[in-house]
Amino acid sequence: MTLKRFSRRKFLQLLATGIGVSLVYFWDKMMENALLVASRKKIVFPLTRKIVSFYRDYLVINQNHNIKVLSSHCTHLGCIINKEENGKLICPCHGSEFDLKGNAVKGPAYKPLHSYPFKEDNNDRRIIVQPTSS
Amino acid sequence: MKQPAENIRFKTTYGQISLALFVYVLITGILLAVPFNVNKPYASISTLMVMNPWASFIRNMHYWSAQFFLIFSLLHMYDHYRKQRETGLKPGIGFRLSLGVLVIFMAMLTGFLLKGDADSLQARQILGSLTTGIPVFGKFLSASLLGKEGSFQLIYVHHIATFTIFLAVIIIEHSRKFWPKASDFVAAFLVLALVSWLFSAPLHDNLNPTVKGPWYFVGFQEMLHWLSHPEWALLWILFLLVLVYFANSGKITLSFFSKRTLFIFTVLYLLLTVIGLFFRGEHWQWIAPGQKNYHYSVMNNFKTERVDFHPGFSFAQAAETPLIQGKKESCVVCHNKVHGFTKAHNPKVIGCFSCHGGNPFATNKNQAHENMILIPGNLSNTQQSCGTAGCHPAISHRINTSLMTTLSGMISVDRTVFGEQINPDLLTNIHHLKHSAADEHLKNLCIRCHLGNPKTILGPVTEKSRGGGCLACHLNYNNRASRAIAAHQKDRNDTAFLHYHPSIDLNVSDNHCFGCHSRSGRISTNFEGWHETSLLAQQIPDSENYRLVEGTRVFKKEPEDVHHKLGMECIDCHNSYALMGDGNHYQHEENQEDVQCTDCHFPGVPRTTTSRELDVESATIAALRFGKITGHDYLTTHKRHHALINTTVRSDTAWLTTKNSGKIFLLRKPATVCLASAHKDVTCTACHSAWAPSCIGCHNAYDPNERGFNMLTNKEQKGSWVEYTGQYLAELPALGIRQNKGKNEIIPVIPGMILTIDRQSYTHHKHDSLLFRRLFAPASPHTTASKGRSCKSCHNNSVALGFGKGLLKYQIKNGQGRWTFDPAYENNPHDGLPEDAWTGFLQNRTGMVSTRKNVKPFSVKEQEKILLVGTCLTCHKGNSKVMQESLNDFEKILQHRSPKCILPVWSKK
Ligand code: FES
Repeated sequence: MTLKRFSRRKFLQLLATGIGVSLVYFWDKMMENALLVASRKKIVFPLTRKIVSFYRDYLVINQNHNIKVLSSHCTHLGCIINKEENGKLICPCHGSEFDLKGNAVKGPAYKPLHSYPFKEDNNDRRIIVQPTSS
Repeated sequence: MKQPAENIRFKTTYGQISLALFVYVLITGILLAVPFNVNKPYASISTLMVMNPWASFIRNMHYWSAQFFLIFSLLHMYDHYRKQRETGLKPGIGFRLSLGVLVIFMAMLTGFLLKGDADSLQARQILGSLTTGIPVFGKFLSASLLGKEGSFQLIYVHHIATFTIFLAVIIIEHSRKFWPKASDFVAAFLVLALVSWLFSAPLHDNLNPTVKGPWYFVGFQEMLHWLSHPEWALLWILFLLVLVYFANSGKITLSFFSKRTLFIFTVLYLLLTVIGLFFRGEHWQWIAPGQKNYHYSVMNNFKTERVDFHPGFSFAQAAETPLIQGKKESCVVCHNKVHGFTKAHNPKVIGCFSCHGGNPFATNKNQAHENMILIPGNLSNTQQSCGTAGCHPAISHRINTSLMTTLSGMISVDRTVFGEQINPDLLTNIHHLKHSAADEHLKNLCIRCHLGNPKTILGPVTEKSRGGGCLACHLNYNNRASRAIAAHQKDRNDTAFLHYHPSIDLNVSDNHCFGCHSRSGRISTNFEGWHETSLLAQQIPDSENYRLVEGTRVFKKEPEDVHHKLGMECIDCHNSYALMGDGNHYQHEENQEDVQCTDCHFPGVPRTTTSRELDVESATIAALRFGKITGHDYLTTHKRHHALINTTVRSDTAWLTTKNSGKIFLLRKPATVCLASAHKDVTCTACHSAWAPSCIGCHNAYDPNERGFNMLTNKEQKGSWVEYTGQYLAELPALGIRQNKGKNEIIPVIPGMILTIDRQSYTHHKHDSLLFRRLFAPASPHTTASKGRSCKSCHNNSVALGFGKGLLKYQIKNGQGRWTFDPAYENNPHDGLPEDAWTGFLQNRTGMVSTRKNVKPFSVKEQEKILLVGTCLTCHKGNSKVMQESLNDFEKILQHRSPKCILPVWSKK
C-alpha cells in the first residue's frame, strides 16, 4: 500500500517534470527558429559624407572614405550610442566611450563595438550589410 | 498564511494597502489600454498628455498606484521580517514569494518600457543584455521577454498578462483575499487622486541627453556603471532573491542573517539611488548641484506637470497639430501661426521645444513656459538648443574653441603688456579670467566682444550688439518681424511679434560682424572704408564723408576695400571652420584663420577638390546656398585644405560667387611683380593694404571712483580702468617681420600699443612703477587695393620702416651718401624713441617689441637692405626698366651700376 502510493506520487512527479522539460524543449526549438527568421534581413544604408551616421542599430563611420559599419549597441549593456563628441562615440547610459574604429577608450565597456562586414555599392552610393548575429 | 485571518482583517497593514493599490493598478491599467497604442507608444502617450487630460490623469493614477504598490509591498515585507513572522514558510510558497518580488519589478519595468521614450528605449537594451547574459537560455529568454526590436507587442503582453496574472495569483495565495478593506480602498483613492492630479508620470522629452532608468533602478544603474562585466550584476540579483527566500523559508539563524543582509543592502541601495538620481547627469557623469548645466542634466528628470482639466487650448486646435519628432507637442498648439522660419527650422518639423525648451507636454501657459529658453542660441544654452544631438552638436562643441569665444590672444597679450606673463602666445580662455590688474582691465574695457556674452534682449543684430552665441551671426529679422518686435518693445501689450519669428539662417551679413569688428583693429569699418576719428558726435561735419556709429563714434571716409567695392562680404572669404572654430584652440587670429589671399589669387595651378570629396558641413552649406552641387570643383585653402564652397574651378580658371548676393567674379592671378624673387617674402597684405588705422600715445590708469562696467558679468561697478586715447591716424601701415615656420615674412603692422599703464593705481604696490610699452601688432587691415603700394612707400618711407613719421632723406656730401632721419615726434622719455616709432633709425630693437613672440621690427641689416633699394629709388622711378630688372637680380644691377650712382655708407658719421 505505502509502496503503491509512493510510486504513484513519484510517477506523477516524474510526469510533471517530463512535461515541464518538454515545454522548455518546445520553447527552445521555437526560439531558435524565431531568431533565425528575424536575422535574415539585409540592410542598406546610403553612403553619405557624414563622418558618423547614426542609425538605430548601426553606426556608419566614414573617415576619408575609410568606411566601417559598427553596431550602435554599447558593449557594456547594449545601450544605443547616439552621440559623437570630438571623435569619440559616447554611450548615454553609463558613459562608455569608443573611438571611431569602435575600440573602447573609456569604461565600463571594454570590448570593441561589433563591426559588420558590408559591401559598398559605389554607383548607387550605398552600403549593404548582411548582419550575422552580433 | 500563518497569522490568523481575523488578526489582520480589521487592521490596516502595509499589505492591505498594497492590495488596494494593486486593484487600482489593474483598473487604471485596463482604462489606459484604450488611449494607449502599442504600435506608437511614445506618440500615443504624448498625445494623451496634450489632448486628453482625463487620460493623462488615469495614466498618472496607474503610475502612482504602481509606484506606491512597490513601496508598500516592500514595506510589508520589511514589516513581516521585523515582527519575526513568516519564517519557516513552506519552500514552495517561499519560492513563489521571492519570485513574486522579482515579478513585481518585472511588471513595473515593462510598464516603464511601454512609454517608448528615450529612457525606455535604453532601459530596454539594458534589460535585454542582462537577460541575454543569463547562462544557457539567456538569449532565448531575452527574446521571449522583449520580442522584436522596435516592437512593443510582447512587452505589452507580459505587462498586462504574464506578470499581472502571476502577481495576482501570488497575492491571492499570499493574502487569501480578493478585496482590500473598504476604508483602505477609499483612503488610497484619495491620496492617489491628489498625487495624480499634482504630479504627472514621467515622459522623457527625447531631447535631453541624460537618460535614466526608473527611480527604483537608478541605484542599479549606478552599480552597473562600475561593472565592466555586468554579468556579475545577475549574480547579485540571484543572491538577493536567495536572501529573500531564506528570509522567508530559512532556518532561524539563516533567516536572521538573510534579513540583516537584506536590510544593509537596502540602506546601501538607497544611497546609490540618491547618487544616481541627484548626482549623475549626461553620460552618467558625476555632477553636483551648482555645477554648470546641473538643472538641465539632473533636475529636468523630475520635471512634472499638474494635470490641467481645462487646457489653454481647444481639443480641435490640438488635433490639428502634427506629431513633431514622434511626439505631440503642446507648444505648437498655441503658437500655431508663426511665420519667418527657414525650412529646416520650421516648427512643424522641429516644434518650438527643440530650441526654446520649456515643457512640451504641459497644457497651460505657465507650466509650458517653465524653464523656457527665451533666447536660444546663447552659448550658455546651446547644449539644450542649437547643439542638441539631432541638430548641430558638433558645431556647438567647436564654437567653444573658436577665438571669438575664448579670446585667447586678447587676454594673453593684455596680460603680457601688464607684465603678468612673459609669453603673449599662451593659450588661455575667457573662463580663466581672475582679478589681476590685466584681467580687470580686460573686464572693464575689452571683453564684451565674445560669443559667450549672452544676448538678453529680443530684436535684430545692430551696431551695438555684442556676442549672442549662434545668434550673433545667424539671426535675421525681416521687416515685418523687426516692426513687430519694435512695436512690442514700445507697448508690452502688442504681441504681434509672436507671429513673426526671426529667421535663423545662413545669411550672415557684414552687419552681423560689425558690432565687434568695428573696434580695435576695426576691420569691419576699414573694409567698408570708414576710419574712426577723435571727433565727438556733436562735432560731426555735415557731409556724407562722415558717419556716426553707435551714436557716439565719428568715422571719416577713406578708400574701401576692393572686395567690398565689388560687393563681397565677410563670409565670402571667411569659411565656417575659420569662424566657428575647427575644434582646435588657437592663440591668435592669424593662427585660427584658414583663408589666405593666395587661395583665390593663386599663381599657377589651383588646388581643388570635387563636390564628392566635400565634408558634410561644406556640402550642406553649399547645397543650401547654391542648390545642386554635383560635379562641381572647388578651390581649397592652402593651410587646412578646406573647400571654398563659393568658388568654381574649370580648367585652371577660378570664379567666386558671393554667398548672399550671387555675384560672380573671375579670380585674378597675382601680378608678375608679386612673383618676383625680390619680393618672395613679402605678403600680399604688406603691399596691398591701402591704409590702416593706428593710434599712438594712449594711457591706461585705474580710477577707483570711476563708474565702470564688468563686461564679463555685465554689471556696473565702482572703480574701473580708464583709457585715455591719443591720436587716430589712417595711413599706410608700417612693415615688420614675422617668423613663420622658419621663414621670414614681411607683414603690415600697426601700433598695437604704445602706451603707459599706471599699475600702481590698481595694485597700490609701492614698487609697481609706471609701465611703458612700445609694441606693434601684426595687422590684417582689410583695406585691400588692387594696386599695390609704390616702391618708394616702403623703401623710402620712415613709417614703413618703423621709424615713425619724419624726414627720411638721402644726402650725398663729399661723394659719400648717407641716410638721415629727422623724426616728427618728440622722443619719449621712457625709451628715447620718437613717440610713434617702432624701432630707432638704423638701430636694432629687441626684447618685448610686439604683441607676438614671432613678430619684430626690421633689424639694422634689414633696414639697410631696404634703404639700399630706396637709394636707387631716389633717382630711378619704380617702374623704370632698371628697377624692374632689379626685382629679379638686384646684385647684378648693383655690380653694373654707373659711376654716378653713389651707394650709402652706413656708419654713423
Ligand atoms: S550600456 Fe553603454 S556604458 Fe553601459
